[in-house]
Amino acid sequence: MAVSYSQYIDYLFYRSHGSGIPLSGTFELTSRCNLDCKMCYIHKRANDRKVLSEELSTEQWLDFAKQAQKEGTLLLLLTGGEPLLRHDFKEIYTGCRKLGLLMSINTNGTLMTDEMVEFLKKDAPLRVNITLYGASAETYERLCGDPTAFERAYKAVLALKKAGIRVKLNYSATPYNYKDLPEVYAFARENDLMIQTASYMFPPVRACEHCAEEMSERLTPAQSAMARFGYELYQANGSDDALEQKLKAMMEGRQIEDIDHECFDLPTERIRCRAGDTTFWVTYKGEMRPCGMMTVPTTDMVSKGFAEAWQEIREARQKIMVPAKCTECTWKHACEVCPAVCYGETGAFDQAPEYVCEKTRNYLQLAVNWLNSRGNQNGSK
Amino acid sequence: MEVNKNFVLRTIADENMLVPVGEQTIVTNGMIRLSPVAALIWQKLYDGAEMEEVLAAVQETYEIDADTARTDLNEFIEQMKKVGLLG
Repeated sequence: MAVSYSQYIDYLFYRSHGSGIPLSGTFELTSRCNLDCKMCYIHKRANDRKVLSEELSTEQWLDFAKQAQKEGTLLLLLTGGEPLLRHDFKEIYTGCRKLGLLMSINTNGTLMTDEMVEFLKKDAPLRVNITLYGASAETYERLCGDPTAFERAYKAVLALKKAGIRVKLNYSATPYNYKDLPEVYAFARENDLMIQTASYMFPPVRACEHCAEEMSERLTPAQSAMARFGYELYQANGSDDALEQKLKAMMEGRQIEDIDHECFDLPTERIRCRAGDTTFWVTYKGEMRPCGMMTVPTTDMVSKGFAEAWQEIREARQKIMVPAKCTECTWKHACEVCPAVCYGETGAFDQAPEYVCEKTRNYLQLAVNWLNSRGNQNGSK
Repeated sequence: MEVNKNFVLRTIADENMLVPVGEQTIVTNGMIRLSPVAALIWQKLYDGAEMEEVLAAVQETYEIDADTARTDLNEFIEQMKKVGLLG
């Protein structure tokens, strides 16, 4: 009997949960990037020799892929920095595919040449996730320092789609580009592409010399709440009754199922997302972590090997407690808090992140306003 | 009789699946889930076993009489041929 792919993957996550199977992982092939985005947490210069010397070799990545496959990894995301900067990207990708790994790629799209599209078409990934940074060359210049990136990124999206490769768009809303969101949504809808907006930006927990040191590089909590609410309106796509139900449930403090949410985290006493339970992240230097936004727990996979590092991460992850304030909060089901956010904002897993509290308060106010205006409209009909 | 080598058999959490690789990936657009006995047959054929060896392996693992096993195996092989898993 045929079951949908996503249902089967969910079932595999369910089977892997608690049994120590690292079903899904990420290899952060490089920390270098050809763009210079102001809010980015990891983007060393493309030609940074020191960083280049710290990156794992082709052989090391392929060896770790083999070890991960042996432990049960099925889904593998290649990310960066910009992973297409690696001269051995194709070799690593093909080596992983031969192991029966289902691959996804995170890229800014600007290095996605026609030749690379042809290469991918011959052994397609599950999905290519392209992060867009604006709807014009001007916005790209303002945020990423390169106006030419705009055309290259959008061209890549369309070329991949034409080749039959599944594309998902990501958008990171920042003070430099949030005004472009309506245009980007229109592009996504016109081309029938899935888009996910990150309205929350982590503080630069993995800051490097070129990264944002000041918090001003991200939206204020109120702006971030607006970006979140705008994204939900876009997702609703005119199905306002469904959105109304969801918002009302939030107002009543009820839990809302969100199938698009990647982490499936709830603010209970202990960490409950997949990080370190069925998923792992490996940095460009070979440090294993539960997720890409957690700097701890961390362990050196190069000296320990995959299996031992994974065991260590699993054990450390189980000890993570989340803030009591969040557990008891009336609005926990309307909130985007997770252990990585707590740590990123406060330096501790058990401290509530005030930025996110404020964002949630603003978001709820927007929801109330929207529900009221909808009630008024319906009442006047 | 040769299996289509553009599939890799994976067993994860007691689940067996054929993952397409290479140009097969866009064609299949997903994975093929196999029962334990189907996975056993696939692996034997992948390793180059003849029909009689496959039958013996099935009978070693499962309590089944030879005639039924042969009939079921032939049926399964026909199914695999139809969907391009066997040449």
